[in-house]
Order: sequence, then C-alpha cells, then structure tokens
Amino acid sequence: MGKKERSMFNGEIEIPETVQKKANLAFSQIKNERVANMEQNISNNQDFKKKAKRGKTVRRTCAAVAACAALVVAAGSWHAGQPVEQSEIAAQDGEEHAEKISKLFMLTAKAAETGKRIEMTKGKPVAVITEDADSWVLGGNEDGTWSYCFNLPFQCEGENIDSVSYSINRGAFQVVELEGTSIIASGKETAEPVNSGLIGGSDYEAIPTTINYYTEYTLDYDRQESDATWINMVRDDIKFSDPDLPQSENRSDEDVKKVFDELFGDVMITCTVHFTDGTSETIEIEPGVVITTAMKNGEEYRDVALTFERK
Amino acid sequence: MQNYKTEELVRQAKRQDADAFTELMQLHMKDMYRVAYSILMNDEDVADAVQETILTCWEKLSGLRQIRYFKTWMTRILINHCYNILRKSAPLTDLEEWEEPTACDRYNVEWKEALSGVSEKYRIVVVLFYNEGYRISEISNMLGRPPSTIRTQLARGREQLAKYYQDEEGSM
Repeated sequence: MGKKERSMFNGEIEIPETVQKKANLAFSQIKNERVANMEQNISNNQDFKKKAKRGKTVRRTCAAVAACAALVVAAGSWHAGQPVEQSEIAAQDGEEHAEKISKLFMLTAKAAETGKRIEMTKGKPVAVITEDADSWVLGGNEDGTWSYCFNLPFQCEGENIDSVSYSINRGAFQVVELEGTSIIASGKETAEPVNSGLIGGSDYEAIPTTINYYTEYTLDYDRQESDATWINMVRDDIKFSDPDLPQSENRSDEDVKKVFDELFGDVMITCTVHFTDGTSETIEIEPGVVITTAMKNGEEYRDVALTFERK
Repeated sequence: MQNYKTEELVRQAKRQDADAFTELMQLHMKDMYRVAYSILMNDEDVADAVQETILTCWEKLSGLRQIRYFKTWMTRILINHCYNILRKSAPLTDLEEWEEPTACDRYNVEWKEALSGVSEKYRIVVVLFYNEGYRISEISNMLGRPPSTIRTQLARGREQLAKYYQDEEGSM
C-alpha cells in the first residue's frame, strides 16, 4: 500500500454532531432506565411492606434485606461504602410503622497526604489539613481567647440528591467568595462576624471578595464546590483551662492533643442530604487531630493534622 | 488490541454502572463511526446504527463472557445493525447520490472521499483491517466470510484505493 493510502488511515476522525447527538440520546435513555429501575425496586419493597402490614407473616425482614441488597447492587459502585439503612417493619395488627428507605450516598473529604477524595466512614477519621498548610489558621486574641479558621474539605456524592446542608453547633462557617460567584443556595447568617483568621479570596484588589458567616448553609448538589469559593470552619471564643498550654514550647504529644481537645470541645458539624423525593438523611462529623512523626531535612519532627470523623 | 482502561470500564459497565458504560462507548465512538460509515456511507444512517449499537450493547453486556473481546463483540453488533439499516433502505450505489461530507475537518472529507473510491463489499474489510487493526481471522469471524475471501477483498480494496489516488494525482 502506498504512502498516501496509508496516511488515509492514520488521521484523526471527527464525530459529526448528528452522530454524537443520537449517541447522547441513547446514553440518556440508559441512565433514565437505571433510575426508573431503582425507583421500581424501592416501590416493590414498599408494596411488599404494605402486604406485610395486612398480616402476611414471616419473611418480611429477610425480604427487606434482599430488596436492600438489590438496591445496593443496582446502584453499582456504591457497594463498598455506605450501609443501606432499612427501618424495621412493624409487626402485625395494623400497628403504625414508619417507612424510611435511605438513598445511597457518601460524604467525602479531601485527604491531606494525597489530595484525593476519601469516603468518610464511621470510626475512621480522615486527615485533611496539616499544621503548616495555608488552609490552617490558629492564633491567640488580645483578650486571651483563641480563634481558629480551617478550610473544610467535604463533598457529597450520590444519586437522587437535590441539595446538601451543613450546620455547626459552635462557631460558624466562614464563606469567602469572589464577588458574583456564590454557590451558597441559602444560609442562616450569624448576628456578628467571627473574629478569626481568613482563608481564601483574591490577592488582587481589583477582584472584590465577599465574606459571610453562617451557622447553617445549603448547596445545590450539582454545585458543591468552586475555585472561587472557600468554606471554612471558624470560632473566636475559645478559652483554655491553662492559658499557657497552647503557647508553651516543647509540648508533649499529649499536651498537643489536650490543646485540640479543648480547642474543639464539643464542636459538631451536621451534614443533611436532601433527596429529590423530599426525604433527607443526616450524619454528624466531628473535628479532631492526629499527631504523627515525619522527616524533614533529615530531622524528625512532629506533624499535626486536622481530622474529621463521621460519627 | 484492548487496553487496561477499556477492560476496567467493561467490568464496571457489566455491574450496571451507566457512567462507566457511557465512558466505554464514548472511547470507541470513532471506531464505531469509521466502521459504520464504511458500510452506510451517510452520517444519518451511521447515527442510527451507532445509537442502536449502544442500546444493544447495554442490554446484552451481561452476556459477554470474555472482557478482552469487548471491542470485537461490539463491532459485530454494529455491523449487524448497519446491514439491517441497509436492508431497509435503498443502497447508495450511484456515486452522484452520495451525500456531501458534513462540515467536519479536512481529514474527514479526505477519508470519506477515498473510501468512496472503494466498492461497498471491500470497504468494510479495508477499514476493519487498516483503521481498526483487526486480523484476517477476526474479520472473517465478524463478517461471516472465509479468510481467503477476506484476503481477496482486502487486496482488491487496496487496488481500488491505489487507483483512486492515482486518478486524484492525475487530475491535479
């Protein structure tokens, strides 16, 4: 075969729009059928429970577990992460029972070491920021109180999710955004700003930045993060039992742990996932620290990382 | 030849992962287009064939036993759909009726024009061999023609391509 003929087969072909459009229609059809199948599975399970309520006995729990397994399998890649919760079906005699089937979702956090998103599972804290990172601000105020500002790494992934809300019981969320780019769908603002450090924004005066403080905020599922938004956990009213503790040098690991235990106290972040059918699921996330030993320039040094643990 | 990424996507798609399936088919979209066009020679019919192939592959993927043969399996489904479409519509035998290439880049136009110089029954063999890299035995399997026939058709397809380019150069 001649050179010219060979070159005919080596070029990069372009897919015409008409072909891609029809392909996209097929992909949409497939995805819609998947969602419909999952909803049908849920509906079948609900029908089964209604029959159980009318007095059909015995295999309710087993069948419900089987239906859950079908839901997990049908959802594909979620099988490794989240347990599917299934409320118990109440017993006989027309007794009222609540039916609640969780949708499948997972909360992820960006890990400090790899920068990759890791699923948050119960009992397994995820280290998200180290002490020397720009996204960690901790300092004392003139009145002897301490404040902190830590960038939050969360993202929710799942199916049939409309929005995700976060609330905090101590301090607030500091939302720093380049003007005109807000991803906050709604929020409950604090009465006063929090006197903590600041993470985020632009170095250029020409790009205005807005800073707001919320005790709760909501994000649309499809818009949970943006390069122009920084969401941080802040607080400015922390008093240590020993004022010298946070500042003393040569603190032991135990002292460091004590500092952060007092810093965070009983802080809890609540994440609520709102599904498209109007139901919601709530999980709690607790901040903490992990202390490790690392090597730098041939010397050993203590590394402290902020963690979040799903409770 | 199938790479690791394809095999991983096939595994996920077999577990009803629609996103993995979409990515998998998108990865093979250009191959599907070339093969379908070599049979149908117009983008409208190619679009229908590709659409049908996507839906059929999704429906039947659970039946694919050997993941490494995914591309061959998919191509065979595509070829069947192409011939179904050909059977339903009048074939374009007259070159004057051949549609003008759509507004794609220069390579598309050249490729289609060159292909138009090759007879219908040789085109698919030429594309499967030279564009898609299938062996004679694989093409023989896909098209249901004996290997000796495939070799002959390939040789004749090459001759026609060479003649097309000679005529092209002659007319310049």
